[in-house]
Amino acid sequence: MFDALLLERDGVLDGQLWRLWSGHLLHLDAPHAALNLAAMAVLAAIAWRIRQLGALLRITPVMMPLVSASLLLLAPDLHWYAGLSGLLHGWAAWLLVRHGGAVMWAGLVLIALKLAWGQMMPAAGSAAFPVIHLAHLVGACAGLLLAVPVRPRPGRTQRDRRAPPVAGGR
Amino acid sequence: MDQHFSAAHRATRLLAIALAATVLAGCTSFFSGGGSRQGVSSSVVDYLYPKGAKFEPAQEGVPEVRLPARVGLMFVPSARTPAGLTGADRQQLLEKVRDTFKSQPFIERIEIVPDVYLRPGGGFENLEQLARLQGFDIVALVSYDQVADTGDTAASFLYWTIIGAYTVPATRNQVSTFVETTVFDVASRTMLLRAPGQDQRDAGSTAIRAMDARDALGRASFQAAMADMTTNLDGAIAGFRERVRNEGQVKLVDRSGGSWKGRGGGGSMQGWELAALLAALALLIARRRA
Repeated sequence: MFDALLLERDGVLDGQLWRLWSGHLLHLDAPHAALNLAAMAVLAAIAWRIRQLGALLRITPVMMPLVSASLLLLAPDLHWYAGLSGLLHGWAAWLLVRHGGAVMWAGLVLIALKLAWGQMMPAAGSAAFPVIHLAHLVGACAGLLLAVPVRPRPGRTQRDRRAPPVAGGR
Repeated sequence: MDQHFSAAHRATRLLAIALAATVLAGCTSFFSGGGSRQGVSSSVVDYLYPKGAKFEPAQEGVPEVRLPARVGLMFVPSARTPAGLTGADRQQLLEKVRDTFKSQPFIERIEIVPDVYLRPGGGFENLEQLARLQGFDIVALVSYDQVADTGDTAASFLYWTIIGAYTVPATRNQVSTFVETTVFDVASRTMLLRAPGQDQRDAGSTAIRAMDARDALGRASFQAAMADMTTNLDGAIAGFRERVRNEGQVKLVDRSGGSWKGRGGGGSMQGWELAALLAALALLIARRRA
């Protein structure tokens, strides 16, 4: 089952396109799955809090193959990948852009610093398997790419748009 | 009496000319080698299957190759080395081949093995001893076959003047080189892939410089053939992967168990990233309440 769902280059090239989605859902050990699922839950809570959960869930089926295909294209020597974190970086970048304002810039700078650290110190971390840091970078870029065309106008958050008209509007 | 003397004198003169011609011809043929052909080769077949050795496949069925592999890289032993090629040259050439292998995801480490570890005609037994000693799973054997031809052109008659042997480039030197890397899985004695490389070149030289010219040509030809082989190695490795996938020639198994999938890994969040996300959520909730 694991082998049939893994994001595997040879399988994708053979036409097993479901791997572009299913690879994100597989994990290599229990701590790997637990950390990623916990991060996913927190990001989903943040999305719900800023009223973006529905839009995020709608964009996710597009983001998943975008991350997978970009990863296989940009790392020709990578044969397989499993895990949610590439997608979660996409979620984080997407939510930041949708939120906008100073929070967006601060969050994006933090993500950029974290990605740079991951590239410079690839062996850092406690995972019992090789961590593919490129997946995080690709995920964040995919999140930005998908969020920018639908980003709210500056100065208006989702709450502002949903708020009832103020007194002057009557 | 006079007539008899002059006949004897003529005969002596003819003899002297004939002698001089023979000596000169001998000299020129000494300079140029008189047209020669020299060959040097190391055959992987002769090394692995020496005369009298019985072929015994080590494994029945589809052989299993354990990856990522530890690889030994070496020249097939031979009594003679190619013309003009020094030990340092051989080491440098193997390093180039090693660099091509190094970038492959199925290789854990690759080491160059000095020739002294192998004995001519040692067969798989010799290879297995070496593999056990150095911990290799796979060996890449580089074999070669080089032929050098030296011959005189029409202008070589000028060598008879002696000075011509030093100044007229009337000797034609030609070198053909064929090299090949053959990769074997030691445990299953299976040939995994092979990559050939070849080169042919020629150059003129004076009779007196023929030997040096042939050595220089041999060295350059060997290096060019190795470069050609290194280029072909990439294609051979890609072809091997394709064959394994489509034809099931061998079964690739992971050293730690299961089937081999190549280089890969997981995307994993870190604990501190989760903490940062929780902090962001807490801030968001706190801001809403305020």
